[in-house]
Amino acid sequence: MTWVAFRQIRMSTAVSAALVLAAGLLLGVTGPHLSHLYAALRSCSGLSCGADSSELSRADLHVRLIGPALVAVPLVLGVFLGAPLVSRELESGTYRLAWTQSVSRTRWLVTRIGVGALVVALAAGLLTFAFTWWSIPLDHTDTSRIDPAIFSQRGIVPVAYALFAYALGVAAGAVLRRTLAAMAVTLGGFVAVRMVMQLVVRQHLLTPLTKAVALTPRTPVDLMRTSNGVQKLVPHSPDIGHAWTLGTTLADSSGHPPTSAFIRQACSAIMSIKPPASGIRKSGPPPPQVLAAVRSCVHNVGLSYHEVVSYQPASRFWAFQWLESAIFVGLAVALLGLAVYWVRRRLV
Amino acid sequence: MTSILTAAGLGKRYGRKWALRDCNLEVPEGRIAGLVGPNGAGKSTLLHLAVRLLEPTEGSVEVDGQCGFLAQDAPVYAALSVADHLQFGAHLNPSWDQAFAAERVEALSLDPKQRAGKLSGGQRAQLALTLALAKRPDLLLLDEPVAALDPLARRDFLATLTAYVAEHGTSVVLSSHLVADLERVCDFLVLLSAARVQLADDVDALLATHRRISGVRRDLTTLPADLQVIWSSHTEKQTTAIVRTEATIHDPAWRVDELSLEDVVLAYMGGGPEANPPLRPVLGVAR
Repeated sequence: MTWVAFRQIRMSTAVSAALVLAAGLLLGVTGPHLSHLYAALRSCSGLSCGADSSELSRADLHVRLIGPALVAVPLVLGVFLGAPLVSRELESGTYRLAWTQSVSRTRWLVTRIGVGALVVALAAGLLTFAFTWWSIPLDHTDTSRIDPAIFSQRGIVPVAYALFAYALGVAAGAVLRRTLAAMAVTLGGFVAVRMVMQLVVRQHLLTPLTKAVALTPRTPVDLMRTSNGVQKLVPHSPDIGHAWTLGTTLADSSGHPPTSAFIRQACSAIMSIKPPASGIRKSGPPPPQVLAAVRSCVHNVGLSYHEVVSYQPASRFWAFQWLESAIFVGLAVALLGLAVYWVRRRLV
Repeated sequence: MTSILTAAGLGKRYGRKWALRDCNLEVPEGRIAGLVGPNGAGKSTLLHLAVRLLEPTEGSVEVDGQCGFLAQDAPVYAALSVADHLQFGAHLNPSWDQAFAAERVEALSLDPKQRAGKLSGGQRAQLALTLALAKRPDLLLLDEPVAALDPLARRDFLATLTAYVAEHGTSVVLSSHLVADLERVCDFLVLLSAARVQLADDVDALLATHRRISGVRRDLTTLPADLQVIWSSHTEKQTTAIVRTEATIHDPAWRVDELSLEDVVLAYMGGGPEANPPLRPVLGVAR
């Protein structure tokens, strides 16, 4: 049965292997040079490097393209290896051949699922490994690996994503019985689940840490101003040693946030400045009197309030990797269970 | 006489519609049984139930031994070669006879490297039949195997089948919506119509017990009790009927003719012999 399972996906396996090989070659050839260049250019400032700026933009392009391309790999594997697994047999009628041999339908399905999952996990794993190696110089200089933009391209989560996409494809194919529909559902479902995880769920997997930071006149802030006065003051999140900062609030020594009446009073100087005539803002730095008024406002607030930054430290990278991988592998197992149930009980 | 396929109270329902119902059937071992009936009568459903592609809604169906199944339109993997299909069979069936399969492929002059998607309809059917035969089944179930074939491929296919069965004594159930296909090869007949088994008997017995009687118009209720009227037709002057009887018909008022298998089948499906289309058959009896 294993031979049969491999033979059925020989073409997709060959294509996957070719892609992994091509990507590996590309990364292997461009890797050390581009990464070091990128890192060197990022660590010096502006024109003082004397570096060729076209080289910088080329390096930048590579880094910006390869990362997102890697994010799409699990999806592609799920769509092309998962979705057709059952649905193509149903569409072409070959299930009547496959399921009337001396091997039970369950064993047929479990073997085919297992062999496909192996190919998917290997392809995603090798690509992620190559890309992680390629990015080592960047990861030393750039923002943290725990940053959402980078987190999903490193470590083990891409393999879990790929298994999830694959399982979603298999289950959708079994239930919908149409390859194209199953591919569409895999695409939509995978993107939706990944986004919900990245934007909503992930930050709550572990309780964020908080850190108190003094509010100084130099702290950049956002102000919310109405005709009644300044209503709200939101400081920009500071950099905390490669951490993933989730948000910043203000608190006094006993932990209470400032009232809007307090803010209104502390920032009354701003109200004496006329707002721009229309809603259109001029670009460029704000006029000096505005800057002075804002700084005095921040100074006044800073006398009794400090910033409370909530963040996930870089040291939690692997904890998050394992947690998120476990969730996606769990979802994959549940979906494959559904597929097996469906093929055994519903397709009769 | 032991039966190779036994159905008891077998039924399959899709939604609210019964595809097969109250099916009680015993197909004897070592026979070539024809499963005949109009399209949608439940032939595929019965075969799919027998090979466990479907689960019965009620009742049961048992096969005494291993099944070889050839599904309608002879499904094969278009991207796989002929040789790959033999590997497929070998890996999925412990009883696979590779020497036999290879010999068959050669005898059919199929190129082992040829992709199955590029085969002609007749070649594809022969490849699918090879897959079913090489697992050495005790019962071979064929679902409309020749429906899509041209006359030459049809003849070759049936010749292959009958030669194999003659040599190995394998039991066969072969479905078709055309009686003519079955007439030449079958020695047992199962007639399915409107989701029910209408008839299941030896072909010889069917031919020996069914007769067409015709004569001057008269009331058929006056016929002897052991004479069962299957179909009848009345014109102003004449009465024609197809009857079943174990006894010989001695009444000199009737002209008695033998029937072809097709005529018998058509009579059970409600149609008369071709040459004599029924005129108001039901009303004719009542008047």
